[in-house]
Amino acid sequence: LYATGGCAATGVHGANGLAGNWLLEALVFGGRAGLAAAEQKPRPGKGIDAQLEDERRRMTVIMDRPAGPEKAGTIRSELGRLMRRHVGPLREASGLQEAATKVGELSTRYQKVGVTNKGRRYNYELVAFLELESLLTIGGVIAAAATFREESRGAHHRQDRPARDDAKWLAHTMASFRPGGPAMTSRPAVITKWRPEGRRY
Amino acid sequence: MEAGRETVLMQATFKVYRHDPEAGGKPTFQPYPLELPEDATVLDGLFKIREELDGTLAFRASCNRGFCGECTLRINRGGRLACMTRVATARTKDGEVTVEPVRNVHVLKDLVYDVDRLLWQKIKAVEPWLQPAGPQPAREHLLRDEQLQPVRNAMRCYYCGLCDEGCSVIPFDNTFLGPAALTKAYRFVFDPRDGARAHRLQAVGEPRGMWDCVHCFEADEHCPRGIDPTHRIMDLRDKAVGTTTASPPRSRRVDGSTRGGWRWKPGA
Repeated sequence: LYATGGCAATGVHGANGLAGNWLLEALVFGGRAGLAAAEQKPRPGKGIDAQLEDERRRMTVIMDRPAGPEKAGTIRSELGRLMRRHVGPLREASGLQEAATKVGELSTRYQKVGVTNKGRRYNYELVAFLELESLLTIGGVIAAAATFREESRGAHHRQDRPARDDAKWLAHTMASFRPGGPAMTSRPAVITKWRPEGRRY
Repeated sequence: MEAGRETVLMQATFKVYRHDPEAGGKPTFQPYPLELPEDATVLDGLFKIREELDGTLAFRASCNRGFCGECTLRINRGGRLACMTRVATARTKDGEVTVEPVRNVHVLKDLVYDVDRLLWQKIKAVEPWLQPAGPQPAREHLLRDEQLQPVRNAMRCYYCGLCDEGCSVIPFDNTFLGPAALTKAYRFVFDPRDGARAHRLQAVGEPRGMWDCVHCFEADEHCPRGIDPTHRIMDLRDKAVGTTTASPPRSRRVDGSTRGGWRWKPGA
């Protein structure tokens, strides 16, 4: 598996990994990942055609299922409001806990949403529907990771834990998929050239 | 909208261009009455339509910050970025907002048009990458800020296509390279690191290139970034007159030629 961007945790941007900075990272390391992937011998497994057939079947199931009264857009706006309120740069344990619970509820509601546009060309309703699943997954991961990291660092400011704690948290946060929600662990960060310093300005 | 802030709502009727060329039929303008916050943008309105009223509406958008140029549309007959246009200022006295694809494009569905034909093929044709002379330097090729000053403004182009939308030549010949691609050519011709200047000037000097510009200045009027593409085309011409001697101006207005020059590469 090749990854680039925020999840690859290259540390190039330190605590300043905001918005447009990731574009640069995605371009540079995306290019390297692509070259490395091209050099690697393909491992035996399902062929591309079989994978395509799986995807086609998955789409047919989504398109055929009856649409409940609720629209994906409603859930998306609620998720946005929830994340802005509780999971912005300033966050604290109780708000994060509420966000995690509500993301779970939204995911349950998402299961009943269907796609009304049955067209096969430029079907942005289907795209938005698929994106929403990822938004819910990642929203849950962000809330869980912010709860897990009991300190403040960079753009993660825990109002209930305002100090940085290098003894315990000079580490990467690792999220693993579990059916009940993400499982959090940490892995020590390897410091090479630059030692992290406090913000003294 | 955050809790605690009062939201004032306003009414607007979006009249949206609808057409599915594959399904056939004629384009229509479909009205959607909307209730929107008074600071809503046209793009907010389009999302509201797609998410709440009509999932079949096709339009493109990405950054929502006026940075990516993806939602370039014609709003009440003027080329605009939908995400940077407020409904409150765009709507007519009757509260109507007409939204349609920009001119000079091939519509794929509703508000989605073929950007490859409008822009990318032409931009690829000017070889939009640095071609330094000599061997690759071992480190970054550092420049003093003032050395990049001439091209700094042109580098801010985000390919919204509004200059090509306003162009007076493209309606007559949509194979004219157009101000967006020529501005991209300018960006490399005037880059002190580039070693392919003569080759570039030769290429944009072919028919359908810079000499076909009629300097109507519509591109300058349309550019939301103040890059003034018409002036950049004139800069290219000045440079060509000053540096290339082999190739005299070859506009089809001069020699009537329709041969040579860059060509469509369908499916490329």
